[in-house]
Amino acid sequence: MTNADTAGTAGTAGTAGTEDGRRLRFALLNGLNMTNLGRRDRNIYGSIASLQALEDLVTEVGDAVGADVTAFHSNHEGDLVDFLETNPDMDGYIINPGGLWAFGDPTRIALEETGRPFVEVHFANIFSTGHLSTFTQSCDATVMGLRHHGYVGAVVALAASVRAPASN
Amino acid sequence: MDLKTLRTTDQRWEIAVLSGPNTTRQLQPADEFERELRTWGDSLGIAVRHYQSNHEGKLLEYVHANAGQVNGFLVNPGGLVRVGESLRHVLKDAKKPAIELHLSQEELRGESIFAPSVTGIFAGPGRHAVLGALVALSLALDDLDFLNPEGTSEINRSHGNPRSLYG
Repeated sequence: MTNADTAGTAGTAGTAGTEDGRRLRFALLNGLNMTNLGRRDRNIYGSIASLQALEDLVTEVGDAVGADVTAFHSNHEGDLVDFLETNPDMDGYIINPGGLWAFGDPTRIALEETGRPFVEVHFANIFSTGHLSTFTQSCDATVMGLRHHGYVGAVVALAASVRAPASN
Repeated sequence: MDLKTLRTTDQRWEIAVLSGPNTTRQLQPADEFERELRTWGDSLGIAVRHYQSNHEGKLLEYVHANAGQVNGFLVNPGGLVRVGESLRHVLKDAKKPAIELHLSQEELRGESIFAPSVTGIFAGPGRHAVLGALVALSLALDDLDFLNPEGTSEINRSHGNPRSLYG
């Protein structure tokens, strides 16, 4: 985190970067109803055009912080568990569980079993419903209420923490 | 990397970071934390001001004095997470986007009285959460359809109130 950025941009020591030269591998998972992004309530989901646009954005930001992003989505919870069982060795996972936020225990357990850091991201502030997401209890980071921009912050923070694990 | 490359405008947003009671240990060494905030702010092209106090009243007065000048707040409530009703209320009154910030995910697993009324939440891992939250908030402020104070669309939420999933 303190070395000069390999791309040679000035004054960026301490930011999430690629300075250790290690390419990371992240998985981006989007759960139930997320395939419908672009047709959902814009008051919650904002102006992002589609799930494809979101996956492209996260892939682009991942590339900028030195991470290859594998995007996966399904409306079937078992598919998410299958994906995690066959891809348990990523450097980190970013998941929007979609409709699984309340009851997605199989997915949460599969994420825990990878032993790798995972971040839950939601477009909406789930707490404003008066409920807790089941993922909040065991994930390494929670990002809510920032629409698609939350994913960008999540990728930057996750890359920084994988490269220089937090001590507090 | 140059975080400005993630931005969609070049507006120099003013973001206030508030650190409540019991956060001094998390922020040690304090001068390094201030340096990191400056570095991240410079890389993003925004201005970041930081205020730490163990006194809720001082935090309130800071919000009273700064709400008119800043575009958003990152609030690490520290020991006030379950009891800081006055701080929660003044952030509502400020009518600016406020992001609840935790440097440890564990702090979000209990009952936060802030969570239901803030715009968004960014919790864990460590100081990287501050970086992630500054990035996300800056991009959200760039977005005319979201937190940009110049935005006029019906989905602009620069007043800071969260949208309920059940609303």
